Amino acid sequence: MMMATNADIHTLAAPYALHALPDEDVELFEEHLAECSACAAEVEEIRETAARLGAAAAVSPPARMKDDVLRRIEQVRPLPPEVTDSGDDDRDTLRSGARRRAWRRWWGPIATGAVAALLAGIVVLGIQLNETREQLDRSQAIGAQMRELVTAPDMQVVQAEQGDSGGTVIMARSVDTAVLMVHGMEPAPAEHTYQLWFIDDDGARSAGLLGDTEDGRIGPFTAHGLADADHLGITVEPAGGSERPTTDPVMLIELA
Amino acid sequence: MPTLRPVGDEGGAEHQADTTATLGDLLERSARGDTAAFARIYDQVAGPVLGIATRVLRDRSQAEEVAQDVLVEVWRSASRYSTARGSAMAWIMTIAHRRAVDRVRREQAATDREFRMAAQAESPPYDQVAEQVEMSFEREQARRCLESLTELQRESVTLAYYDGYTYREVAELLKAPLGTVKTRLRDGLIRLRDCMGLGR
Repeated sequence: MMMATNADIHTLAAPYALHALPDEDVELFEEHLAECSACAAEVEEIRETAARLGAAAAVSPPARMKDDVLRRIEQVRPLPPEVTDSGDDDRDTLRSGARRRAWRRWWGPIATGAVAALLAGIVVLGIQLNETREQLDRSQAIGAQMRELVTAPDMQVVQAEQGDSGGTVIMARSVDTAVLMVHGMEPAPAEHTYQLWFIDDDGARSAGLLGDTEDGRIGPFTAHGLADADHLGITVEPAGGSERPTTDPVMLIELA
Repeated sequence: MPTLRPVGDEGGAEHQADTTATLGDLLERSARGDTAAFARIYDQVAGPVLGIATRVLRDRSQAEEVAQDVLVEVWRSASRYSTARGSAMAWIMTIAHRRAVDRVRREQAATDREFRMAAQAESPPYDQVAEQVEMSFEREQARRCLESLTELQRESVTLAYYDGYTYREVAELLKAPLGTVKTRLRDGLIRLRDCMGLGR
């Protein structure tokens, strides 16, 4: 996936958002924008700020203006909604709400096309509680923490499948903990590791480094600090991990 | 017990005008052809839309033309608004600002510099307009936040946004290098964002 490498073009986000780019630069920047979700987030943020400046300049419109406008719209048919399955615009693909927008801002690469496709491919399923308890009882990894988690009144199981890989998360916000198991994972590249992230409106927080894969499996991996996270994400990071995600997620799981 | 209902002149069946509907909700209804919902949008945004058009264009009658076009455009393309693109207000104000700026640039291209200067001379500058404008929390906040910027930041933001100049023109006007203007613009906007409590 391409990320912005040209620092200079990146600085055009502010003038672009304010319509202060000459036409020839607009095209140039829009090409870049299509591949730079960090820029898209910045443009969006600036426009929120600018809207406040604009609203601060509000004047009282003459009364007849309302009549004129209402009369004019009688003659205008509203456009039909855009049907978005053609992938014509990455930014349109991820349109399921403000929360998603909030973490996209912090995790730039998420808004790229490949990841949008990945998101679409993820199916989240709930599993019957009893079934899960049985599964867990069979697991050798149950410790006291796990029991606390599993018996928590708000325990939930979230499962995500994507092609041959997938993950299961057992979580309870009351104990601030999520346990993750994944399967179908390639081993991390040499000198690299898989890192788990909690993602919420404030960004991505590291939830720890995942160990090596065994037969494509990882976990059960216990992560504390769930808080308000609405997604778990896994990225490939340089050995030792990173403070912030530096690559596109290889797996994203939407939490209940 | 029968309840009396006002006879709707817009013909919509279900607008028991709930006062809590957000601008986004109203846009959604508007996209389905609900003119009553649009009228409520109008009430919320016409002032800001006309305001920014007036700031950019100066000429009041041109500004009103642009504002009307913007509002009709909002009606027409309401279905294209998505919360993933930010707040409904920002979406509408972006359309308004772009239309106003386009108009200015077209005027310029049409060699109407003289006309524009005349229009500017006729229109009172910002501070004198202030009396006529709606007093609002936004206004006070924006003023306070703009004041918190450095002079170069404030001038860059103001010339680009309120006056609709390109950043190259801003650089020319401020006799500052292009790179400096871009940086001041960005820094200024970040500071404004934080000052307005929009940062995360």
